Amino acid sequence: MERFFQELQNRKFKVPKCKNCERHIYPPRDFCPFCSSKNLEWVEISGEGTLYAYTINAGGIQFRNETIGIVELKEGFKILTYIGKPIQELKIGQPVKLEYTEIETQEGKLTLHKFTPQN
Amino acid sequence: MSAFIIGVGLTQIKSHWDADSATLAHKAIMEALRDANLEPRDIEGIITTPQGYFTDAKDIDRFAPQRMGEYLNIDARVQVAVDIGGMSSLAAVKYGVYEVLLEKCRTLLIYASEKLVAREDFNISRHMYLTYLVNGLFGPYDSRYGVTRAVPYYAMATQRYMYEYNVNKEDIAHLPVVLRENASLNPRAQFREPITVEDVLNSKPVCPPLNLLECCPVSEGGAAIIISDQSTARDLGRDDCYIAGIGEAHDPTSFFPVYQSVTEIPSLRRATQEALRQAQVDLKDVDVAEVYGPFSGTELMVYEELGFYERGKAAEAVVEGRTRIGGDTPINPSGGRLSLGHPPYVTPLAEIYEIVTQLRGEAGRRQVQDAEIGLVHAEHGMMNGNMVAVIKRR
Repeated sequence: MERFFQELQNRKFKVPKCKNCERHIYPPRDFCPFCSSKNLEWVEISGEGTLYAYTINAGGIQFRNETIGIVELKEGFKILTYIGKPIQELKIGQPVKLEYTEIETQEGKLTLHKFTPQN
Repeated sequence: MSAFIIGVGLTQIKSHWDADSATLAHKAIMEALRDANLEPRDIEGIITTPQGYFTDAKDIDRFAPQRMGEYLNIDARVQVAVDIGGMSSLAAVKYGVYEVLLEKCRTLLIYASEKLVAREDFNISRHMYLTYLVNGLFGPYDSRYGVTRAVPYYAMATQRYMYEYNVNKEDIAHLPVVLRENASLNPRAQFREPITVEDVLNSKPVCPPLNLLECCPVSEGGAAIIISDQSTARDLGRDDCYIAGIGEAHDPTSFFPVYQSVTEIPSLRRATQEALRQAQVDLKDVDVAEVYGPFSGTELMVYEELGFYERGKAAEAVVEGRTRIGGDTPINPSGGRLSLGHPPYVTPLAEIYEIVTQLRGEAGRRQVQDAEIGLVHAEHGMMNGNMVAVIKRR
């Protein structure tokens, strides 16, 4: 679990991939929840996906009142993420691409993934 | 299966500035005892939930069931608090039913109460446990994005539902109106002033596409039920309503599903089938239902997953009046979570209170005619786990 965020600090979005059934595993686990194989390797994702749903994070702490969304990645899983455009410019199903953003926390800078529509 | 519901109690659902969590519980418990014609000493077991989903940590008594046992002065055979989020008090009922069926207890008290952190005392750093509580569910992957409430998730599920099934906002806005109409007939409901579709559409946007009148309030209150075996129920002349089936199922998800659709709730389908099978009834035999719909769009999805309507068709059914009192199958005659009010730990017991009141024919102006079979639904997370109970009148 820690490794995911360590990789992210270096602007790498990596998740375990099952060498047996070839599925990507998120959130990361040390076994494959689909075929139970323990033969996994961490791989970098393509960074391509589509916008599945989005809203404004009213009442949030970080990204208060900013656009958040669920992105369906090409690798076959969905993630919650920060969307780099206001909701008036968004449409369900539009292609989005991985970017990174930095936030200030009490423990210093934290790099997070965000996704932005392609024009 | 035969565990009888011999007593029910429910406080007014509202903001109780003048009462603490224990006082709200006592009120409901005393009403349930009077209803069952029992004295406190007659109770053999106590099952409850933690003291309030949003109660301040300093006010939480981790030995609440034990103190309740002392208060009632009983020699209990079981005292325990059950916790699995919003479905906790229905899980407590299931635990109680086991106690009856295993012949460990003849009479059990099941209660819950909800008291919020006072607004003036709320401080995000001092109440980080609340953030953890919610984020604990969302997981560390989502909490980095600052989501500290369930609303954004429900909003996105609703948006996706509208997109996939081509459901429009106006049709969805009819649901809060129908629920408010029911609540206007319920003296214990938090919101009783009638509203219109325009009121819903013009209410403050919370998280798009959800407006304020499509969101449940976070409410305070208490509820209690007393269950017993058949012979005790018969001796008390209260052998009219019994729990005929309980289904429980959980999906391998935590808030929004990573690998499944956000507009489908497989565990609700499984729980419903299990409860109906055990009760030996078809869904079409259900006369009245109380369901756990914290937001308008989600409540419609619940109607569909329970099997009342096809996917994407529930809003239309609501617009046609089929879920109203007097409709095909009245759903949430109490006013539901949106208008009865929603104290999370209390809600499943409040639903049972309504169903038992309906089955006994004591619901007054909101009475569903000839109600004999009732259904109760509860969930936790964002519909990640579901329980369904069927309650029958003999």
